[in-house]
Amino acid sequence: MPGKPAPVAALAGARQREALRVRGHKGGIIAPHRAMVGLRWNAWRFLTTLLLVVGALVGYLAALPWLGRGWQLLFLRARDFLGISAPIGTQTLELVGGVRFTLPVVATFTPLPDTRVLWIAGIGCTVVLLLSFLLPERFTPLRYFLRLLVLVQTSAVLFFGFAPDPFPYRLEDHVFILLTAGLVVMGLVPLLLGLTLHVFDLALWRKLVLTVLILGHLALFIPLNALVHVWLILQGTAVLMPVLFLVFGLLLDVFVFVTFYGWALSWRGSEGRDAPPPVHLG
Amino acid sequence: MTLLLIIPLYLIVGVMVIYTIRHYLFTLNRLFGRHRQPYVDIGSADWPTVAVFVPCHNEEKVVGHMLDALLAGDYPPGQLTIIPIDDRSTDDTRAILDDYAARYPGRVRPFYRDRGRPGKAAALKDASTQAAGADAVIQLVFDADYLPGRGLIKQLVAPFFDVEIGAVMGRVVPLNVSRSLLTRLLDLERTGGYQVDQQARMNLRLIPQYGGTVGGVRRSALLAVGGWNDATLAEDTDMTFRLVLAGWEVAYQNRSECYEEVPETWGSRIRQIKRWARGHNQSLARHWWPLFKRPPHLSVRSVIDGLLLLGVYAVGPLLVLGWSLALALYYLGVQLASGLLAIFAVALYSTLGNFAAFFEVAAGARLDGSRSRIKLLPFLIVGFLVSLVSVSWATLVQLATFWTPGRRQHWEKTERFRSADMVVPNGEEG
Repeated sequence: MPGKPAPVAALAGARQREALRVRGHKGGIIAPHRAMVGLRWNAWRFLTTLLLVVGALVGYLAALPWLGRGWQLLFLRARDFLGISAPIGTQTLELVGGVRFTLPVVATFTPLPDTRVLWIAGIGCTVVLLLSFLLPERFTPLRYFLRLLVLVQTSAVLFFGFAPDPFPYRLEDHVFILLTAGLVVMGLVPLLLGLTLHVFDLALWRKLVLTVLILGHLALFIPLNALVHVWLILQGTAVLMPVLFLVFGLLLDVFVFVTFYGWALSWRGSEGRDAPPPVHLG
Repeated sequence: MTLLLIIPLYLIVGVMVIYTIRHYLFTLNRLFGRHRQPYVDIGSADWPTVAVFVPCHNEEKVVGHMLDALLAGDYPPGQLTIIPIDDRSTDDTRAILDDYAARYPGRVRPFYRDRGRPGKAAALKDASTQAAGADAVIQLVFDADYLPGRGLIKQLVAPFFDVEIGAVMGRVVPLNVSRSLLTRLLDLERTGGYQVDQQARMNLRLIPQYGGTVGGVRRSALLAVGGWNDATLAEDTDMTFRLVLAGWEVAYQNRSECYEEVPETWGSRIRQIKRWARGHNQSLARHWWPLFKRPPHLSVRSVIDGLLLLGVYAVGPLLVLGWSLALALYYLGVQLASGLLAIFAVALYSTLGNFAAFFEVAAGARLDGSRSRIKLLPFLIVGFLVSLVSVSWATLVQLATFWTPGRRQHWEKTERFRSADMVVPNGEEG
C-alpha cells in the first residue's frame, strides 16, 4: 500500500485477506460454521446501545410520577370493579436526584385466617398433593410445581396454626413491596437489555420497540398482578400471602422479561445473509 | 437464632452471585472474545493409531447406526480399531457386534464382559487395558447412541499433535430434538453448555470438561494417571480433574459435532441427571482439596473455574437450602436490610441472577442460527425445576448413605428411544 502509513496499510491488508477468506463461488459469501461465529462490536453498536440504555432510563425515571398516578387510577377503578371495599391511599417516594412519585396503597386491615380457613387450606393442600401424584409422567414439571406450591402453602398453614408470634406483614406492606420491586425490575430492564440484547445485530427500531413493549407490559402487569393478590388475600385471608409473594410476585416480572427477550432474539438480524458472520479465531 | 439463618443465607447468595457472574462472563466472552480453536484446520497428517471404544449395554436399537457411522469415517482404516464393549447385554447387542466383527475383521474388534463391576467406567477400565487393539496411541470414547460424522475422528485426534493435550472433547448435538418439549429443552441446555460454556472455557484457557463421549484421551496420559476409575459414576469428570491435576491440558473442539439421542421422557431424564449429580459430587469430594491447594502449573483463575465446575451439581441443594432459609426469615419478618434498599437488592438479585442462565442459552441458540427455538426460552424453567429437585434429592440421598456400610454403586443406564430400523443421517455435516 504505497503512500499509506504502515498501521493503516496493515489494517487494509487484514481486511482484504478477511474478505478473500470468505469469498466463495461467483463472489458469494462462504458462511463460517456455527462453531466459529461470534458477534461484531463496532462504534455504531456501542453508541446506539449507550443511547438506548440512557434514553430508556431517563425516560423511565421521568415517567415515574405519571406511572405512579396511572397506577393509582388503575387501583381506584379496579377497586370498584373487583368489589374491594377498601380506601386507596398513597405513599410518596423520593429517589436520589429528587425524583418524587406516589404509589397507591390499599389502606385496609389484613384478614387473618380462622380455624375453618386453615382447615380448608390444609385440605386443599392435601388434595393438590394427591393430584400431583395422580398426574401422568408427561406432566412431571407440573407435578413438581404443584408440590412446590403445596410446600409453601403448608408452611403458611402451620405458621398461622401454631406460631406464637403474629404474622409480621400487612396487606399494605405486601402491595407496597410488590409495586416497588416491580419498579426496580422496570428500572433494570434498559440496563439488562443493553448488556444482553442490544449487543446483537438486531435493527435499531426493533431494539427500541422491544424496550417500549417490555416496559409498557410491565407497567400494566405489575399493578394488575398486585390487584389480583389483593383480591385473593381479601377473599382467602393472609394464609395465601406467602405463596403469592414468594411464587407469584417478583418471579413473574422476571419471566415477563425472559419471554419478551426470547421472542426478540428469534428475530432476524439486521446484517442479513450477505454479510459473513464475524469469526474470531485466535 | 435469626443470625443463624441470615449468615448461611448470605453465604449461599454469595455463591449464587459468583455463578451468575460466571454465566455473564462466559456468554460475553463467547460472543465477543477471540476463539481458540487451534487444531481445527488440520486435515492432512501422519495420523496416529486410534482405538474407538463404544460401551454397550442392551444397545440393539442404536449400536448398528453407530458402527456404520464410524466405519464410514475418513480416518485411515489401518490406523483405526473400533472396540465395542458389550457389558452383559441381554438383548441382541452381542449378535450385532459379532456380525460386524465378521464383516469387518480387524477393524471392528468387540470386547465382551461377563463379570466384574457393571457400568461404563468399569467397562472402559477393562477394555482399555485388555482389549485387542487397545494399545493405540489415542483412545476415543463414544456412547452407543451417537452418530459421528465422516471427519469427526480426525478432528478429535488433531489436538493430540500438541504434546500437552491429555484429553479432547467435542460438541454434543441432540438428534431427536423435535420429539417433545423435553427434547427441545434439552437441546437448548446442550447449546448453552457446549456452544457457550465449553467454548468460553477453551477461549479463556480455563478447564474445559471432558464429557465422557465424543472425545478421548491420550493413552500415555491415561496410564500416567492410573487408568479409568471404576469407583465413580462420572468417570469423565473424574478423568478431567485427574489429568488437569497431573499437568495435562483438556481441549474442547466446538467444530467437532456429534449427534446424540437425548431422553424423551421425564423419568429417563430424571434418572440421567441423578446419575450425573451423584458422579459429579463424587468428583467434588475427591478433587476439590488437591485443586484448592493449587498445583504450581495451574493459574488461580483455572483453580477457581475448576472449583466452580466441580461444585455445579452442589448448587442445586444449596439453592433449595437458600430458599428454605428465605422462607423461614420471611415468617420471622426479618428485614435483611432497611426498607427500599432491601427491595432493591432482592429485585436486583432476582432479575440479574435468574436471567443469567437464560442469556447463556439464548446466545448459544442465536449463534447456532436456530432462532425460532429461542422462543421456548421461558419454558427452560420447567426443566430447571425438575433438574433442581432431582439433583437435590440425589445429593441428599448420597450424603445420607455416604457412611452406610456395604453401600453399592448402582449404574442407571439411559433408556434409548430410537427404532433399530430408523433411517439416520449419514453425518456428512460433522
